[in-house]
Amino acid sequence: MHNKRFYIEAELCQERKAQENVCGDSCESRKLKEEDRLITVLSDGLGSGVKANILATMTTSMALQFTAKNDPLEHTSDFIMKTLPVDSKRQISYSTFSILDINCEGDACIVEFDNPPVLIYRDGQFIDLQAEVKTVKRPDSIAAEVNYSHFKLQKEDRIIMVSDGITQSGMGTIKMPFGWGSDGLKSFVNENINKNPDISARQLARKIMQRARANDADRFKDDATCQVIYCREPRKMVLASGPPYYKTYDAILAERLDNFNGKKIICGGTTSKIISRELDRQIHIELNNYNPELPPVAQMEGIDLITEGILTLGKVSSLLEQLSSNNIKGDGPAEQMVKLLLNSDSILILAGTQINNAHQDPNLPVELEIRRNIVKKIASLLEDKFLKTIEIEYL
Amino acid sequence: MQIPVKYKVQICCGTMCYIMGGAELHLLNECLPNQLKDKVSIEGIPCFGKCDSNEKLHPCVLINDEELDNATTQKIIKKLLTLEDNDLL
Repeated sequence: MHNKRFYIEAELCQERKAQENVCGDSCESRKLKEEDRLITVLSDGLGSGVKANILATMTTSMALQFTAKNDPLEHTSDFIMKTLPVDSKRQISYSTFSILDINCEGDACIVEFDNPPVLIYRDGQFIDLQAEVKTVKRPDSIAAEVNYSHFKLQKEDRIIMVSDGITQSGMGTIKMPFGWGSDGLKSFVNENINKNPDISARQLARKIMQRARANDADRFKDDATCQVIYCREPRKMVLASGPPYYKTYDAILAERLDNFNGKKIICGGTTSKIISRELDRQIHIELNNYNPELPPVAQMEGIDLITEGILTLGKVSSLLEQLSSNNIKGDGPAEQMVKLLLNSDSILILAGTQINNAHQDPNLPVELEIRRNIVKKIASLLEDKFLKTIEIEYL
Repeated sequence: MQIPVKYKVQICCGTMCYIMGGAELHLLNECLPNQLKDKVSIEGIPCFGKCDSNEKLHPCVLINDEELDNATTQKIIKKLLTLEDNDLL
């Protein structure tokens, strides 16, 4: 998500209740590219396990759709309550939700129903929002109170949305008989940001989750979800893959890469040779890290990562597809690239369009994709699943 | 006294060479006979363009800048041993 003044980094960390197979919370974010708008919905389903997951997922998807279509809140919540299946034990249909809607101007709108309050951190303190309380009718005729608040986002603001699994972690222990609470969470966040003012949304979400897990002595008593949103100066990255169609562009490619302000990745043997030739820098390949899956990484002065091309890109794309948590295991070339990609906000892909004829041989033992397709796939994954800003340039 | 490295083996790390069997060449160091162990340096190099031709030449290896096509571990060792024998004569 790109805003004119700042970039919005949104990261999610989720854990399920001990002994459950699925998480009963749901949190989804959607970036509306045309409107330059970000909507995040966090919902906690009644109970835990599959049933809760269904309730929560239904709530998030409905809330997301309605908000994206600018439907009034009353209609949205009314619809959600009516649609959710009635729990057989408790005879109610119920799930909580928090909706955050940030538009292109940086105006944020928060709607909260029964979730722990959304925290907004600015300059060392938490902002108290003047919430407008609206009453929404529910089918069981118990009026539900929904909090409605607005504020203007500024650079370096952080928004923290959690489910009650976080704030109620540690409940019943001697140290915190009533659980961690919003106050405990607040001081934890404050402490961490003071220690590391540039902490990314991803890191902060993970830290909160780790701490909540520790509060519950490593076994969550409820599903826990933590979504952190951070408005920041974008971390930029460039990925050059493939030789340009016209040889005359080689120099331009090398120059753009060299002058880029941010992380740099080269993906492709020929591409790295072009850059090495144009910039007159040696490529060095270490062979001692044997990994039968992918060709080794190379080193060059001023470039953060150099890998082989199409095989590595294929692996990166499948890793991104499978990735469900923001925890990457392993240290292979593809994993290194995924880590770099996820640690950036705006990514420029310089895709060369020259086709490698040798790759078009149907007798090859491995299927080799066409670079353009795989680059497109990676770009759309990063854009839709990880909410990165992607720009592709074909050379 | 350290014996100076006599033979330079450069293995192509390009995609084609890699999938056509170059991957196992990266383990060459473990297969070298004892008499060659200290005399050989092994390094990776980016694709040097042999895959552009229509002949099936991969995987490609350079031994003292001399090209060895369709390389296998055995072929490389044989070549190195021949070089060694010639040098000893």
